[in-house]
Amino acid sequence: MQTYTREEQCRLWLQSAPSLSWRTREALLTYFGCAESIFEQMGPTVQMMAGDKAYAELQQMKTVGLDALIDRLHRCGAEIIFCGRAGYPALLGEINDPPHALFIRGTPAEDRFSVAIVGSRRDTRYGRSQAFSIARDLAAAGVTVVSGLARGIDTAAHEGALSGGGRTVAVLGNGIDRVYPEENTRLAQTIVEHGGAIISEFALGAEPLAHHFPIRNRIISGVSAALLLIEGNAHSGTMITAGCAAEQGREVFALPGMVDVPGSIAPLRLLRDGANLCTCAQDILDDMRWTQTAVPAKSEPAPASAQDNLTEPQKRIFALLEREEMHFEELAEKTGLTPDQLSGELTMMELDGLIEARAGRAYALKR
Amino acid sequence: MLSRTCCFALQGVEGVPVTVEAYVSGGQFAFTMVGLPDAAVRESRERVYAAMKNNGFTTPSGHVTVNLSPADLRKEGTAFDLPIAVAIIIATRQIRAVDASNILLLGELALDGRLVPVRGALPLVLSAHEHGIREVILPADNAHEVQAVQGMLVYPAHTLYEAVMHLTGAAPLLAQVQKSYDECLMERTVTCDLSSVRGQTGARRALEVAAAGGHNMLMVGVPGSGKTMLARCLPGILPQMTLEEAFETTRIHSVAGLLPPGAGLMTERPFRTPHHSASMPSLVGGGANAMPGEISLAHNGVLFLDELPEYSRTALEALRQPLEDGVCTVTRVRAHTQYLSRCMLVASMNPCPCGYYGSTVRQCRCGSHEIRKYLDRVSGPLLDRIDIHIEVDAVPIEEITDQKTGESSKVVRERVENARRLQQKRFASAGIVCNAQMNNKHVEELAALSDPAKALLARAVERYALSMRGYTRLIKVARTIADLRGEADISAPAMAEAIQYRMLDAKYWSR
Repeated sequence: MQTYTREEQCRLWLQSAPSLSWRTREALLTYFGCAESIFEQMGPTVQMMAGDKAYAELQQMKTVGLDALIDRLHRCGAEIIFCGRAGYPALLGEINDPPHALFIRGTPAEDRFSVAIVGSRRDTRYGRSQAFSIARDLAAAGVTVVSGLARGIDTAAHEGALSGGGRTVAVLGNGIDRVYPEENTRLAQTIVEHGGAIISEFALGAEPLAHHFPIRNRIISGVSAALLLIEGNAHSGTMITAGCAAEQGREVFALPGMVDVPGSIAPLRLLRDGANLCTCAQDILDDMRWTQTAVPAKSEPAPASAQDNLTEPQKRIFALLEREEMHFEELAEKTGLTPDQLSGELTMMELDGLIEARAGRAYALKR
Repeated sequence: MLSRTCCFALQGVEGVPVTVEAYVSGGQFAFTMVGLPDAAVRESRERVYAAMKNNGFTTPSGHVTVNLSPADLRKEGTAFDLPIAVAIIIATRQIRAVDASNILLLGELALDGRLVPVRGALPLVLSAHEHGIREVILPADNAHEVQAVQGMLVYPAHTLYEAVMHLTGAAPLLAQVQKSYDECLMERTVTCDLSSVRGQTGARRALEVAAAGGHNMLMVGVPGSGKTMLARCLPGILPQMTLEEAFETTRIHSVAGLLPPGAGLMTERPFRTPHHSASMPSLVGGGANAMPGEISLAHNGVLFLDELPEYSRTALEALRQPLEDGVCTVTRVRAHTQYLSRCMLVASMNPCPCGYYGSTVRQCRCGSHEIRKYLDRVSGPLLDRIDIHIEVDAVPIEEITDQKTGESSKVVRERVENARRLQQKRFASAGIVCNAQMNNKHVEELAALSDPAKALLARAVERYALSMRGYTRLIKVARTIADLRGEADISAPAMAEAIQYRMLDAKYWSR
């Protein structure tokens, strides 16, 4: 547990008023010079600048005392880091409106080599699996993967980074003392335990309100050197994040999807507007010139030894699936196998790890 | 004068002998009925009197007492009209005294004296036969129902007058020609033939395996992929019902009053499709008189639950025990009845709320969280009781219009019957009839695995993290496939195919 100076305690106090916007806090700090003098000089001037609601919140916290604030912070296993001090994300400090302080659980780091992976909560299997594998490869190459701990693509990105054995950072749109959505509680815990971090600008106890997320999105892009967008529809929040990234001068990457899928609208529009094309982790590493880090070669579709042992019908199935995934009925027709024979062969190939079953009784080569 | 006639009262799917006594004495006009009659029986006086008058009899002017004995048994229904009327006619000496105590009389009377069919004719006649009664007079519309009961003289009557004239011997009725069960089977028509299902070879095969082993089945597929159509074909490929099975099933339907007038013995297996708004009592049985539920009406047949996740949780969970035991006990204040419920459960559902997850035809609009929530409405324990899981995808239009037809139900049924014969031989001493009914002990003793199959099973258990129950179910399905292939021990290909029918849990429910 960290100890804080008087000024830092006052900064925590200033950060903990839910109704105080970034802009007002910035104005107060400029006018009074430091948080401590705001704390000491609570009065009509502060009230006029902060507004009645925020002033009442600050006053109430002042009455309770600074120790209580720190105590509450430590009880949920969090710390606070300040803009311009050690542990604060290096790149985040360079944006126009950096958070004055961040609540953090886990390991703070500068994270100069970091990529944000964002995407729709209404994900497809394709998006999910790409997010997972790109995050995994980036993490394995020593790049920090930043995302928002939301359902769908965000979850896949965090999980991928963890499976790659690297660092991942989750930026929340609510207080650091709770996890939203709830089903990611265990994921959050794993991130913290594996050298990652969960950060949030919002006061303890803040709800995941809709208007928090656009504010949060500027941090996701701000923390990262590059942003990769995977899936999102026309009005998706991911477009806001991409806009922030462009404003902040970050490299924007997008993963193409099929043109007739709603989730492809956002990435395809970005690509048309000049975003970088990303098909794998190596694309990002190359474009960012992060060549000092080595990425493991892309895994082969299937080990050659397993393919050698295929029976005659299995070879036929394999050849058909090499082009694209195929439905059971179509396989039966093209291989000329009866349904019972085909079922058996598919099971054997699946157990050998050569193919995988997909929704709707389709089969595909495992890559 | 005192007279007696014979009738039977329904108790569940059994009949209990009831003696109808009528006593007419002088004195003021009065009518008393004793012996716990329910409202329908109590009202029979009005029908009986009107019918008597309209058939040329006179109504008694003195004090009439009708007793339904045993007096402590609750009687319900309208089948007592005919025996009451005949008892009163004899007691008032309108015909010469005849001994009607050994002839079963059944029938509701219309006001003009016509005999109207009654609920539960078959169970009543079967029970009467067990009690040594060999003659029955019943409404003509009920006659077909009891046509297969051997050793019974069945006299179908149209009116009260005909029945009474038969008893006096003045105008004897012609006894119905009883049919053997084989003759009844000749009239059997398959309503939904498998040859009308285009494509879907994978699903057809799964259906065949399910029928051959009596396995419960779950179909997951997009709307319009033919899940209901496939399920409807199932009764047609199941083996013929034996006479006992036909009696069991017809009894339950007769008690529930579901047989149409003039219907004969049920020779085709029942196919029940309760709507997903069905309540728990409607599925497992209930009501004040403890009537059979859908699962009992599907006895020896198929219970089809379309859109499985839409059913109420309590209703689905209540199905678990009767599915496992093959019998379901309905207990109410006034009645306590056991109904058989050995049926195949066939369920269908969409893969996601919008229905198109994994479809080749249309894009799914659901997020993974919504899909998860939808699938979670089906509980694990219920899923565990379903041996075969299969995905069904829509057949492209070209294939539907393609003239190429698949095998007919008859061809498939022959293979199913062969497999069932092997099972009956194997289970002769075990007291079960098909693979789906095996318990753990049976699986250990009667379903031997070949060495390659064992190795394969071990790999599958490891790969899909199967539970002990999942493991047993896999062997049961593999045993059925081996029966279809005519193998003594379960071979590796049979096991490999069986694994395909269990992989859906891994794919959908463990994400």
